[in-house]
Amino acid sequence: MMRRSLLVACAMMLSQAALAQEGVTRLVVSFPPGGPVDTVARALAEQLSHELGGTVLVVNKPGANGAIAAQEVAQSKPDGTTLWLSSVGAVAINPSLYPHLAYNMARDFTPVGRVVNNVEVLVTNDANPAKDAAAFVAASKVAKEPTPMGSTGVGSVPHLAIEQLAEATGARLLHVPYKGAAPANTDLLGGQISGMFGDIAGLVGLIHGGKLRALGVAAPTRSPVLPGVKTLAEQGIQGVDTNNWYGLFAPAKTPAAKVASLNLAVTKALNTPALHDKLQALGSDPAPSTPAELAALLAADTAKWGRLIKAKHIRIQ
Amino acid sequence: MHQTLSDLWFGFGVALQPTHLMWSVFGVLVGNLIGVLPGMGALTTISILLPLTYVIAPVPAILMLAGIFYGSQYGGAIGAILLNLPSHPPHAVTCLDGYPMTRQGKGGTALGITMMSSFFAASFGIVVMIFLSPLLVRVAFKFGPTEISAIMLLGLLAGGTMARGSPLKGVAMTAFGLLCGVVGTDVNSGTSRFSFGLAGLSDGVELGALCMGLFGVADFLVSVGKESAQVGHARVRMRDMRPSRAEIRQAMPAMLRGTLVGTLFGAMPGTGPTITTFIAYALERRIARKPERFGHGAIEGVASPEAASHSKTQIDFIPTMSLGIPGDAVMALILGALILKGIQPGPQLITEHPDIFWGLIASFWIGNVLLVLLNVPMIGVWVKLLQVPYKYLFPSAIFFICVGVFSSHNALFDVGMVGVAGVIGAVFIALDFPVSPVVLGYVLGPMLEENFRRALLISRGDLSVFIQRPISATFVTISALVLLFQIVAYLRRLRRPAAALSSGEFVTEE
Amino acid sequence: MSRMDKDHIGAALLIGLGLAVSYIGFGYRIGTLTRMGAGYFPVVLGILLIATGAGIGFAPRAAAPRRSQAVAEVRDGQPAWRGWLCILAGIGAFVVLGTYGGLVPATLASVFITAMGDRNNSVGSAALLAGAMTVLATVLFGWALQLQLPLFAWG
Repeated sequence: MMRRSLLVACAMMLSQAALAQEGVTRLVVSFPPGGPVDTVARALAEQLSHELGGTVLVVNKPGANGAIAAQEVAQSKPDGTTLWLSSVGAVAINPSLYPHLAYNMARDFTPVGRVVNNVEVLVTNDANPAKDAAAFVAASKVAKEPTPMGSTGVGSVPHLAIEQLAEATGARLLHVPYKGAAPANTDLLGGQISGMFGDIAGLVGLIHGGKLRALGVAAPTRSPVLPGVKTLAEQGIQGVDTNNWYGLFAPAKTPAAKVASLNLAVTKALNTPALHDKLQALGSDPAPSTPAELAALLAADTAKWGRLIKAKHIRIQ
Repeated sequence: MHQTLSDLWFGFGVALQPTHLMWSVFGVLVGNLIGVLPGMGALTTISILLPLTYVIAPVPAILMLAGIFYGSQYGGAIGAILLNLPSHPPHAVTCLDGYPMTRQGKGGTALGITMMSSFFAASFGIVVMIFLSPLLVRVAFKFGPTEISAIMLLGLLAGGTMARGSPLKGVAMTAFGLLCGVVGTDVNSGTSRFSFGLAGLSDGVELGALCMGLFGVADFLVSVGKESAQVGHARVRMRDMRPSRAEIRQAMPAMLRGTLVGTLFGAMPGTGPTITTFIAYALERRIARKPERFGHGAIEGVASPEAASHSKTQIDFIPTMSLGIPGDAVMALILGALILKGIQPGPQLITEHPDIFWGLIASFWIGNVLLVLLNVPMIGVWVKLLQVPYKYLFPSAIFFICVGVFSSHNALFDVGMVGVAGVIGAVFIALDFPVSPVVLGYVLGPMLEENFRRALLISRGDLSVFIQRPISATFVTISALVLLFQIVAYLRRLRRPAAALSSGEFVTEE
Repeated sequence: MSRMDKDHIGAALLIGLGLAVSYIGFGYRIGTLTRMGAGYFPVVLGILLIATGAGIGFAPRAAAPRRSQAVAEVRDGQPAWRGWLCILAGIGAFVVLGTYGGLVPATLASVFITAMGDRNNSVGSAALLAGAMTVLATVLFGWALQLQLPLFAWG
């Protein structure tokens, strides 16, 4: 009996929020709860619901490298109540990676705005003698065997960053793919692999805790989260430029006025000190943009990664 | 040592603060209740209640989420034992003997033993966590792809032959499970295998759907329309509600062994709780004087895997809390909640936020005490559930399965998969093939293949790494011995066909 | 069905499955033991399935097994086509109506159809159960647990 009444109490509590307003905006995420994109989505949803004056619900539709979420959003009503928060992979990399993708970015979606920049940082474990990226690369060139580097999967941003580094410096690197970041981190800590690229957000704890050493940031400017870490360009390594940005997309036929008002709300939310600081503490760099800027970024990154994927013969059947 | 005890004292101070205690109790209760529903696991419950953590402070938020996690595990055992519905995959092993016990009218006993084992093992795991975590973290790093694939090999050999009946059938079903595990994107090459162009299959067969189909739905398909199969459901005797002293004496050593297995595996990263329960069960069966009792309601077959899964679960919190590396999806969600509260998980968590770390450890124990206090008096109520007429029970259960499986990935495709798995399971049951090795193969296969290929990738194709590295060499040697033992036993049985009948030729599988 | 029949059917299924799996597996890159491609493991599994299937189908049997009374009765009863069809149709209804109708219609239909699989249920009692479960689903899943499946979704 006590349990039942508790359950009812819990029901009341949770439902009140949802029933209060009618306008529910669904923020579809192509990853399961708990991952980095989901975490950013939930932080954004909280603030965005204040800006939009309605509930913003995070909907997790994981699977098929984002294709399931993409199709869900592409097929929903283009009235601005369904948005897709995607990292760069599903929108700018997968079109070059998969020969038969079930969605088409140009045909099915209209950009709303960028949310965060997530640049990659090159890390190694504390046992590795290399103190910076230049030393890491130099060591790989004289080593007997190629240096094993982890990634979060074939065609993932960390994988492409490894390819860029090898191309830019002639380093001899061995790509070792993992299912996600957690097992790769464990193997790096245990010394099974020598280094990896990863989103700063996922590594900042291990870097601050002294377990991993940040060797260089793969972006034109230093990260506000790791101000002491030099960029790769500062160390004389050009052409390793990765940004695993997250952006919002709406179904293609969403009216321009609606997109503009959503963009305004997202920009305002991202500029609120509370959300700005929270995202930065997560290790992501809040970076609102206009829809046009996101469109340009999408086009540029699609071209950049497409070229690399073709040149390195990275293919997925 | 002294420092640890004073830290722990501090932790209890944190956990027992009224608001903290309240949220912890709330989490445990909700987790327990929702865990009882078939197919609803901790992941769903935590993701549903995540928004609540926005409005409460970090310490109570994490205590609540952790409470949901182990509360739902206690709850999940109830569905597994009473209805053959393992909503939490490690409980698939508990079904093997727990459900036959229910059909013999001893569901209450099975639940009582489960609660006892879970509590004991969790408490033991917590103690290990408190005193040995720096050591365990160091050990964990010794396990690379080479070691993990060697362990998986041993798991396959030990588990594949544990099913009742012909060992050949066990191997065949394990192979079928391995095949189910292969479906989806191959990590090493990115190739999509056996997905037939279906987006829903590109990430593989969903474990929850497979378990619910092979066990729950298959059982309903076998017993629907057959009164005789449903008898056990209605038979509840009050005097069977509490485990007798003899039963406790019988379960005790198994519980201890299970706890040790769970603790050992707790130290090895990348070995999930499901594998741990299979190993614990296989061990019990191997050392039992009458192995043929297993699968027909052997109480050790309930006590040992339940204990193993609970000690493993507790110890799994070590990498999550001391490194910030989540062991599984649930841990990732709990860490995500911490991050949302502005707390960066990582090695510095213990020193920067001792209230979270030690408060959590203290709350584990408080939560486990609460769960026992809550669940033991409730056993009678749960068992009464079985008196719901079968004609109402199975349609409701099927519906809960659909919703539960849907909720883990918000995918209706997975619900369809339950139906398919149910048909496959029913066909196998009808043909007297054991279904539990399928789950084992499914869980072990991808890890074996993935890590084996990764180990050889890193060693540049040198197979000798498996015997050069001491930990993996040990496991390879044990595997070889197990295999040898099996072959010798098989040959001996071939020579004396009469003996085959008396040793475990009970081929029926519920 | 006798024990022999069952084993032969099971063996045939395993061999068929093993052949199919090997065939598909050969379509992926095979590689070698030390440099496995995506197809290596599936082909090994296919061969293992064929081998165990052959072993089960052709191995000599000593005698028929003992079986408990109750279980034998269950297994050897009449095929329960109605129950089987209704359970599977109930799950199917949940998938289809979940996609096109929402939680409420999906619950109503799936519980009703599944309940009709038991001869002891009349249309009335099945409908009553379906109604009760729908109320429960609405309150518990739709409302309290905020299941990410809308109550009604037309179109």
